Amino acid sequence: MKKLITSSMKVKLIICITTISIVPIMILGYISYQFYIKNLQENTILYSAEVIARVDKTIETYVSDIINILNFRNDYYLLHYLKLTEAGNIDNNRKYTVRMLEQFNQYKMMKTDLEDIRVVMENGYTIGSMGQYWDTQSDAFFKLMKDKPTDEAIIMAPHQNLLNVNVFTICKGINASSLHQFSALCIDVNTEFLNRIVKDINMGTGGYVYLTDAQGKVIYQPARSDHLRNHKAVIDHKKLEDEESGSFIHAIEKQDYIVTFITSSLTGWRIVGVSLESELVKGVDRIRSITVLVIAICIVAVILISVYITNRMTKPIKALQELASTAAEKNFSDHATVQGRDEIGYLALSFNRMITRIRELMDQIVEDKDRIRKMEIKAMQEMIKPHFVYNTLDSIIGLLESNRIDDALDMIEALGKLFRTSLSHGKEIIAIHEEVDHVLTYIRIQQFRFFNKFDYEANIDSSMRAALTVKLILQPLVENSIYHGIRGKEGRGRIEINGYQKADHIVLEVLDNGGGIEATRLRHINHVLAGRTSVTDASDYFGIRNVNERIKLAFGPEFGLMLEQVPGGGIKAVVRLPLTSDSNGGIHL
Amino acid sequence: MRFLPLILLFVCILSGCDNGFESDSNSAVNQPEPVTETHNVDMTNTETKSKDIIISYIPKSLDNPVFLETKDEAERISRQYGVKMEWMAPMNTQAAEQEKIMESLIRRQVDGIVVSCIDADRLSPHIDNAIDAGIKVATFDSDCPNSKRLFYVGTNNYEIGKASAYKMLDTLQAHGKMNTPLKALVMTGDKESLNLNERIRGFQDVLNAAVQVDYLSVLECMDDLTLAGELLETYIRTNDDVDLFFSTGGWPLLVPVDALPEYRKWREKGGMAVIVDTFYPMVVAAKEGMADHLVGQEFTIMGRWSMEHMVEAIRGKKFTQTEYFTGIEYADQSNFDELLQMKEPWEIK
Repeated sequence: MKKLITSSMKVKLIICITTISIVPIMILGYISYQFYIKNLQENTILYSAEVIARVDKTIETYVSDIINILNFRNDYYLLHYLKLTEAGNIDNNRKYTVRMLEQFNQYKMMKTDLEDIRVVMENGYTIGSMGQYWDTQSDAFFKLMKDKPTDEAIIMAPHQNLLNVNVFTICKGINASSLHQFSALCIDVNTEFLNRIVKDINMGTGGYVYLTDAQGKVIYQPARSDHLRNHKAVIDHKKLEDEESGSFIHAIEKQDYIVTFITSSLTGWRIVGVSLESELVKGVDRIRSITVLVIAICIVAVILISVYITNRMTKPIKALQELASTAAEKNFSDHATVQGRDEIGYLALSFNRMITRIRELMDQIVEDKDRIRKMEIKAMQEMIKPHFVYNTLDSIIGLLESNRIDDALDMIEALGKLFRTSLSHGKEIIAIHEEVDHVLTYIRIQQFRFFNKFDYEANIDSSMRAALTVKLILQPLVENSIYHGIRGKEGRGRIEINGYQKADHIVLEVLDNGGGIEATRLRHINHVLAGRTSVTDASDYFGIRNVNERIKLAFGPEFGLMLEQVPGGGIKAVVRLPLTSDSNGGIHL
Repeated sequence: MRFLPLILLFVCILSGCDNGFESDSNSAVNQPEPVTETHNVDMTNTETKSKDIIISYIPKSLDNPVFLETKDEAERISRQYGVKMEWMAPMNTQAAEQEKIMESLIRRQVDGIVVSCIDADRLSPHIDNAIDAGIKVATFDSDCPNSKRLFYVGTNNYEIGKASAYKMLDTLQAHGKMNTPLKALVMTGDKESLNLNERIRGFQDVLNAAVQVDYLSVLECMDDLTLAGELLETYIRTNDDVDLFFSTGGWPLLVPVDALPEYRKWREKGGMAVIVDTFYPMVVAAKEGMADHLVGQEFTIMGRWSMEHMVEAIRGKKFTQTEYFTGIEYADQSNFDELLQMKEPWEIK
């Protein structure tokens, strides 16, 4: 895994983008799923509760209408009928009887669910929409009626009426002061109306609604579509017994059902809605599948998009990488293709600038090296001038002819040392002590050639002897001092070579007590050396220019050569070099 | 058929029942026994010997006022005997509902059932079931002769049909129409009712033998008074070739006469009408010219005899007589006033 992560930027980007995208998607998907499921469950229970409440409302509205009809108990003709019936007045009661029968049947026609409306007297004599008859089982009924306030409507549990129709009965007492007997006005309602109310209720394909009275006896129970049992199951649960309303999960035949119930305030009936939880779960499974599918699609899309984007992003970087890795091999000649104005585009631009600059610097270095090499060659050529060689050899011959063998050997050794230092095994940079030794060797040779016309002294701080310098810089200065200063001087000449550290650089001085240089010319020479002006002839001041340029090429433009007038006469050539060290230690910059 | 009244008279004397009426069409029936007593019997005075005997009457419908006299008289007699009477029927004439009520009485195991059959063929098995269940069953007003019923109390419907035809012939003779081809309109209650069909049969048998008559239509009013008036008015308005009108029951004259303007016009133009039943409002209407003759039934006697015989049957009496025909009452211009003095106005509104 670690290897994968650290393998390439493209992989890192893909991992990063997909992680940043997928994790929130999955978290969001999970939260949404959980929230939706919870919401779905709550809504299902809420829907069930609303459905049940609607059923209750419909039943209560219907029952209220029925109870309103019971106000007929106060009808003048009804009371008169009862009075005449009590009195046994058959003849005078005829018209009231007919009126009662017509009235009852009118009510029946108004409400098609009314099976019967009747007045039951305490002795059992009854007049209703089916005529007049004796109710021989009215004792218990009147006992119940008398226990209740007359104005209270009593709803009887479902039963079968005279014609074997399933009905439930709503009654109110008739207790007029003019009557001797207690009577009741009763309405029988076909329980089919409950089926009509409930049948359109959608509790799912496996769901249903049933009703019980306050004692738990079933009032209405839907039939099953299969034929295993006649009716769907009635729930047996403590909550149904103890509470007025609520909901819970209940298992029937190994299937979980969501049961929601309320108790009607008017009828006291319990309306129970039962819906199959697996139908909800079916919806949940579908939601889960959809959620997983959507998340999977998002993940795939994110991966594809991230691969595409990272490809687009890393392709130029990769091109730059390849270019960078092969730039040196191809000699910094290839440039990156710049596409776009984004960071990578600017990077490519910068890379191209860098390549160009490197190329320029390389060219410059090559050019500088070439120039240095040429200058060295030139310096060596100047140094090893034929005249100098001839004259030195003549001097050696003279010494040999004079049998000054030792002097001749010294001269030969010095000349050989001179040539060796000049070559320095091809090195351009040597230690200062080597350079000083070289110039001292040259001075000794010249001192002999010029018949000790001058003295010389070298004062080099021991701490800087190991510092580095460009080779062959002191000899041309000493040569100038001899040929342009001391050679034409009357009297004894003096050449002084100093070397010291000053602040953060090294100073090498070559002083003479010659005739000096005229101020204007000296100023011009320094301007040329500083680069502020140029010479018209390439051979002008060739030696000091060679030294100055080689120093600048090697160490930078802030270093180099300048000439100063020595008070009292003479010229001081001042060389500034950086503090450097060689491989053996020495001064560290 | 002529000997039938004699046989009835003989049987009645033997069984000790009250009054056997001659159904001779040519003789007016004596005035029916007055049944207008008001029994202020305490409703609680229904105690029977050991268990309450319940006798249930099932008329054809509750909205037909013609049965009220039967009901009231039966109720009076029931109190005399100390039995409990019931009066149960569908509001309108509906055979299926009558059967349901019959079945409910069987379930309740009442002691006796007295039923006026809407559809004899349909009700017959139910009567048999009740008999098999130990319930005494009799018929009144409309018989079910093919069932196991113990007896029938009511009009000899064939005879009353014949009597009605004789009265129609009297009217035709008075109008000089005996030799004229005639067109007749008939109204009945339920085309399935045996009693009404017997009346039509009797009427047609007599009339067809005497005159040339073509029967245009039989209007079926289902015992609904309002429907009866509408049907009659509509037919009279749309058919102007009706010569005579016969109704097997009193429905058309039990509606307010103002509701029959077309019929009145037809009557004024010479339309002849004979209608069965002689209830008070019908006599009033006939007196106003709405009918030539009324041929009435003894609904009160039906109530009395049916209750009395049923009580006897419940108490174990064996019946050899299975038909108890009540009398026929005639009403025409000669005795409208007299009858109106005798009869009680209907107070049913």
